[in-house]
Amino acid sequence: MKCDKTREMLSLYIDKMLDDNLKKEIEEHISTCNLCKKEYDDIMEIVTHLNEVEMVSVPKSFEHRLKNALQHERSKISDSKIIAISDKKKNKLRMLTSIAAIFAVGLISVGLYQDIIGGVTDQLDGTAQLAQDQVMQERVMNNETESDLYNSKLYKSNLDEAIDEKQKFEIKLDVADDVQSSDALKPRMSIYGYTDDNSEPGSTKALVPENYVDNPSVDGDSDGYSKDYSTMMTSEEFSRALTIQAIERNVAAVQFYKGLIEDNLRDFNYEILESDFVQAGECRFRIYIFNSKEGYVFNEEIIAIGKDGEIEFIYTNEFMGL
Amino acid sequence: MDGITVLIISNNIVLEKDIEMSADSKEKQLIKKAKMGDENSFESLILGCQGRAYNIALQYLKNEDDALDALQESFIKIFRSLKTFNGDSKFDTWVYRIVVNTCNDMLRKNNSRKNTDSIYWNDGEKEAVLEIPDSSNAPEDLYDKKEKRDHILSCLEKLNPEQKEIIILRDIHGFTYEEISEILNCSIGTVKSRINRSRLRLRETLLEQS
Repeated sequence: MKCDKTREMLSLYIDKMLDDNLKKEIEEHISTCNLCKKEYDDIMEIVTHLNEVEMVSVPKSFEHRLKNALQHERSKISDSKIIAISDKKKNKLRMLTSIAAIFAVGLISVGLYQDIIGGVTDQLDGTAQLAQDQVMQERVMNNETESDLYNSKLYKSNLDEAIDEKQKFEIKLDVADDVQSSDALKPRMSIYGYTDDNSEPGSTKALVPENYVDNPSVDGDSDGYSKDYSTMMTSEEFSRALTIQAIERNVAAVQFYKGLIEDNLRDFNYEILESDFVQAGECRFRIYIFNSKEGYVFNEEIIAIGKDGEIEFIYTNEFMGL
Repeated sequence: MDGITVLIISNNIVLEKDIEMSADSKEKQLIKKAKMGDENSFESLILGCQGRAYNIALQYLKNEDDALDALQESFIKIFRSLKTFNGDSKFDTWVYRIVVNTCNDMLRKNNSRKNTDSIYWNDGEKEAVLEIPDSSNAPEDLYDKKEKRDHILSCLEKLNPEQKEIIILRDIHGFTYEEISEILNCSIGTVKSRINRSRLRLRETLLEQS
């Protein structure tokens, strides 16, 4: 072995960190090389002296000083916990208020929706009733038979008008399934069978207005109602509004749980890789923890589940104390 | 009789293992309790490594007040971050790591104040940062053990901080290479080469001062 190599491994030799072969090689070299032998002896002497450096005892006053400092630290931590808890309560209250507001909006929308439906149905029933009353009056005045009455133009026009309105309204509600609604409507309408002026007397046909499928709002007679309906919330719009509300509620929940994660992981450097809104009010977060702020490297991925206003960490090492 | 002797020996081995295991599990219990906020457990844990931690701080900072400040700051840091201790290393090694980091932070802060007692040289290939005559007068007649040791310690102050710290940890406190790699957060290879270079440099410094 050469001097350079021996110099490189001198400390490992002194600390007995070499295997037998290298140890033998160094011993052989030292026994023949005065310079390396001197270097070895000097370093051995230094190490021996340093090994014997006496330890100094900690001043007794330090015990009291440390206790005070720890006490101060504990009070600081409990203060910050109180603040964190009140923040948590505030967050909870904020979330509950949001949910209540969304719920209230939903209720009002449903109430309004039902009011409108009820009102229109009443109006339509009123129109039909009026038509029937008029017919009855005519019947009394003219002593016409019931079959003549059914053929009367007055009855036809009044009843037509009433049915048209009702039909238009139903079409408004079932925009999506035109064919089905028209099929369903046909037998229902057929009870209002009538004899057309141009057709043979006594023959009846199902009452299906020409324009109800293609464009229900074109009819000039029903303009008043059509305008009212257009300002109403259709079922499609209503479901869209509910969906938006649900999304907003989910976003608010994710934000809330992110806040809790921030509280819990304030001693770590981390990154939220993914956040999902799982069913039944659960939020799931994938979090990558790089290190603690004290410098401990973790590089571990953990999962946090937010449910019922609480956050739970899983797949964590028990020593991380989460 | 042979059977009884064997039994006694095996009992002793079991007893030693039990003592080791119970010490280890006792420490784990203390850590668990301390993490849950038990003050006595935390203080017991700290007490076990306080003496060595203080001496490390003293040898790094060369000043009793600074060493006590560093010790207090370290223990507060440990108290705050105990929940992040994951048990990968021994508890005391983790404590010394925090003490060493705190001391290095204090040295960096104090460096701007240019404390003339903490003068050091860089490696031979680098330019010396600052050089001041040895305040210990380097007396030639200091041949007894204590004086020789003090002389070595004063020369240790002339090494650069990295060289000085590895000599403190290895030769004064006797940490293993593995422990040093954990305390300084570096590889075993780095520890090996730094120990060797630092000892050779310390020897050169001693020769220059003699």
